[in-house]
Amino acid sequence: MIDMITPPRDSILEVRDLVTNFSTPEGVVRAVDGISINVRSGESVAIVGESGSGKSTTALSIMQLIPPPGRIVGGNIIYKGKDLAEFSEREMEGIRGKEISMVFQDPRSFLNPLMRVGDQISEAIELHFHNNRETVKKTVIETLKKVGIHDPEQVARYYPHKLSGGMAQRVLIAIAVSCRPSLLIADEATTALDTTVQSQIVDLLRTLKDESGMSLLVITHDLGIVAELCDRVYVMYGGKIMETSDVRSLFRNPQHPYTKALLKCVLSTYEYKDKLESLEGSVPDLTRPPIGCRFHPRCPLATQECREREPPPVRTGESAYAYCWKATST
Amino acid sequence: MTNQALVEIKELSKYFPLGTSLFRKEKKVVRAVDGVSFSIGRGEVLALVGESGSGKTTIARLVLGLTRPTSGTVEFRGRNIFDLSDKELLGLRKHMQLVAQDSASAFNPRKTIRHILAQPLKIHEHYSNDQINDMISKLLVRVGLNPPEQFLSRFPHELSGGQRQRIGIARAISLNPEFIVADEPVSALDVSVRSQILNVFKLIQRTNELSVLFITHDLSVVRSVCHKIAVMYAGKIVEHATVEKLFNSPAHPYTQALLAATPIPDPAIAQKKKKMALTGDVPSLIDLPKGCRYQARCPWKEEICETVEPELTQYESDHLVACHVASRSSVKEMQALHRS
Repeated sequence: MIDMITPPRDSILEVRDLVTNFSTPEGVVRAVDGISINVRSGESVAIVGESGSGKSTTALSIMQLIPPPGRIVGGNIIYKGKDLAEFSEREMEGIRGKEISMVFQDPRSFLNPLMRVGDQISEAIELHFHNNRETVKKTVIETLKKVGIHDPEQVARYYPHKLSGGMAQRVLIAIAVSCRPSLLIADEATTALDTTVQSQIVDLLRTLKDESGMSLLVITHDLGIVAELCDRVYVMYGGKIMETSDVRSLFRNPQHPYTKALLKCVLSTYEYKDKLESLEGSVPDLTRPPIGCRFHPRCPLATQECREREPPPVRTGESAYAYCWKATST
Repeated sequence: MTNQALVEIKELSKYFPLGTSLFRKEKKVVRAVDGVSFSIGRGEVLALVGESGSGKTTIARLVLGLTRPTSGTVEFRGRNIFDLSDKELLGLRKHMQLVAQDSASAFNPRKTIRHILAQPLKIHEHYSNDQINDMISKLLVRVGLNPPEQFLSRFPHELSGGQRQRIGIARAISLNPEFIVADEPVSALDVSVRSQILNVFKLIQRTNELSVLFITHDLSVVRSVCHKIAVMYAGKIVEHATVEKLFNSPAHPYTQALLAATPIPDPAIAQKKKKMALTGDVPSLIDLPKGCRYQARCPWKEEICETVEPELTQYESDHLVACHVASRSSVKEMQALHRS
């Protein structure tokens, strides 16, 4: 069984049986409960799920940025063959920004309002490369140009309040890619944006990935973004992976009832629906997760077995698995 | 349009003046809303769609009488709400309610759900405590929070985003209003929860025959929920049609770009499609260009667009467009090609 999930050779990031807990007065929340994912070099991978499914905790675990009272209690995070858990804080600083970068949902709250845009981009470059001022300046302008800012010299002198939402997100992406990372994690990077700007940012991320060959880990609840941007998908629910597959099979032929439900919730501009498909209920309380399959309280197909025993991975295609008792193996 | 319009807005404008200073003598204004007219019939849902900064929320505030317009009128049941005395306006308020986008900040965090829902009933009606308790329970059941006792003594932060938005709807319908302004009611929610809330909303809208101004930037929400749609760009309405017509034959280049930007939930199409790239940003509402406001981003720009501002005119029946070139046959052919 374990052997089936062995990652391919060109894997750049491999998360193995990751468990991240938060100790709260109500009990221990197992926000991420034994998930394994891998990202190949140059690949665009999505983690999809509702709020509270553990997507962002997974991302922060990879960056070793879990805030207390959270703690990684199990598993390995192997980046280019080295386990990040064994790195000191000092060594991690050399990884963050240079090797693995991250872009967040709300760009404005991650930009320093009192610092010029150019200076904020240069910080990371100076930290990692120790270049002279002229080279750094040139890199900053080049990076701004690369993220589609038309007047980079001007914008570099701006303070963040002058930027529109879309431009602020571009600047944040510029900071993230300024040191040419091998892996960019985009945590709901397009969620708070207008549809038009969102589509521009998706295009930008795709172009950056194609041009530099970096890998993308896209964290989102929006399957529309996944369809546009990603090659492979992990569907997460209640701290666990429910299904993984390449993006086309996932949309064409979803195997897990949760994936099916999520797909039905996507609204289309093409057809009128009298009653919109929805997924009733809400995500489980992870201090006391349901026994058996985590999805069984909301699952239309749940049987006694689902309520008692956790489903094993069922192979549903080439490197595609569904964690469901009802899935049929191929 | 018809005489049974419940809400009618005529030539509504709102300019926000920028202060003058020692070094800026010239008085400038931000033209947030600039000559907007539309009407909403009884039981009708009008979607107001546009990017941030297009003036959607300013219209919401104007329609509810929360801010005064620079010019123009908002007629509710045939009377301009800005001619009313404060007392008359308070009486009207119970007929027009708001569902806000950010349910986390729409409620007083120190008050329980019971208190939050009781407040409007206490202000506008004189019910006994027992009656109020009974009404609140019924409201909670209607918005799908069952059993209601579980929620009464909770605080807003103890609820999920979806549950809070249900409370927002419950509060808005508690006084049986005729008109609701829903300002991005589902934008902050997960996809799975979004449909739940939209279904609750749709059901209540139908049973109460509510008139709704539904503000959103997401066209995919509009299709199954609204009857008519007005697309806003930089303070003006650029296209106004029934939902069917707008989605089947969008005429304004901006509407088309908006539709093209809406993600297609199918990777086989989405990763291949050629996008009508919408580059650049909304023009500054302080120094608006002469002529059409969309010219800087428009693929069909002609000379006339730089000098004459297009008026909202008839394109087909029930379909108004503000564009000089949209009705030319050559452009129509091109559009038809694009859609297929």
